[in-house]
Amino acid sequence: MTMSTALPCDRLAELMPDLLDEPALFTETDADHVAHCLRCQAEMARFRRLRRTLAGLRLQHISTDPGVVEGVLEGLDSAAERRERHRTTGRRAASIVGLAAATAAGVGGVLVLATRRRSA
Amino acid sequence: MVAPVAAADVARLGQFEMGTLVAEARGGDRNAFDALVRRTWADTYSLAFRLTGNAEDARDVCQEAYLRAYRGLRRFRGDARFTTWLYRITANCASTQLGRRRRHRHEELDDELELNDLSPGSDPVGRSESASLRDAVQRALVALPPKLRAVVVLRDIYDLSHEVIAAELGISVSAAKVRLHRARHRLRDDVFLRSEAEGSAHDDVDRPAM
Repeated sequence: MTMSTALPCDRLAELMPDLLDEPALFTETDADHVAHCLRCQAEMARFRRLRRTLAGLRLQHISTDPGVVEGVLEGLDSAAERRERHRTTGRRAASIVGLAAATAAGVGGVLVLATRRRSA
Repeated sequence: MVAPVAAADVARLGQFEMGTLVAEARGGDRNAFDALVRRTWADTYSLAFRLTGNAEDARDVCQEAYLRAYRGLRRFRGDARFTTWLYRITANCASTQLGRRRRHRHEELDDELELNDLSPGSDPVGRSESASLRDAVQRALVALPPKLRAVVVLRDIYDLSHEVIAAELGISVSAAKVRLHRARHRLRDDVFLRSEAEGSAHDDVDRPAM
């Protein structure tokens, strides 16, 4: 983004938006130039005002229908219900599987015992 | 005589209450989460609107962001503010929504914003001057392409770091910086150069003919 061959004002104008975040980009020579250059001072003032105004927008809420928050809360209710239903279904499925496994194990055990008794 | 409460104390108290609500919500208290929603939704909606540029998408983004926050609350470690965490989720949802919108429809941005100023009262003269600058900035923001607008909104209004912005928008840090650079340049051109040009055009018209 830096053009070393450009005039100081053009080079600094290109750098100005980044100076807000990275003041280290600003060398002592640049500071000397700005101190004596009205064009660069005006440019810097514009970016500072822009940044201040943008930061101020954080305190401005965009008006909307209060129904938005109710919609959000209803959405959360539905999600919680779905999750609960899913959990209940999961628990029911797990108990059925458990019961089936226990029955199979019982039947298996009976068969093993019966086979052993027959062979004895 | 009752000593006036400093704004910093009020903010600290607000943060403390938020911290308590977050802890209760993490413990599964749904009422605490609802209280967090009521406290933060205007801020979240405003961010969603600024990122998407229209009310319908902003509502969808808001809804999705709170659902994700609710599901992911246990993962919130508390090393950042709850609001910052919520901004990140909102930015991510808005990015997804904008991607979806680009694929399915093309709509004009809604530039009629109605604003609620929450800043404490200041002097009327300074206020009207700053109000006109603020309006110009709002208009310029709406006119930015969504990709540039997202970065400047998240950095300059909501103060998120380049790293966080890059992560939530799915771009590299250097791409985020380049977009921010371009966005600030365009805003500066739109806000200052255009108004200065318009001002000098008015001067030419007002000047009596020789």
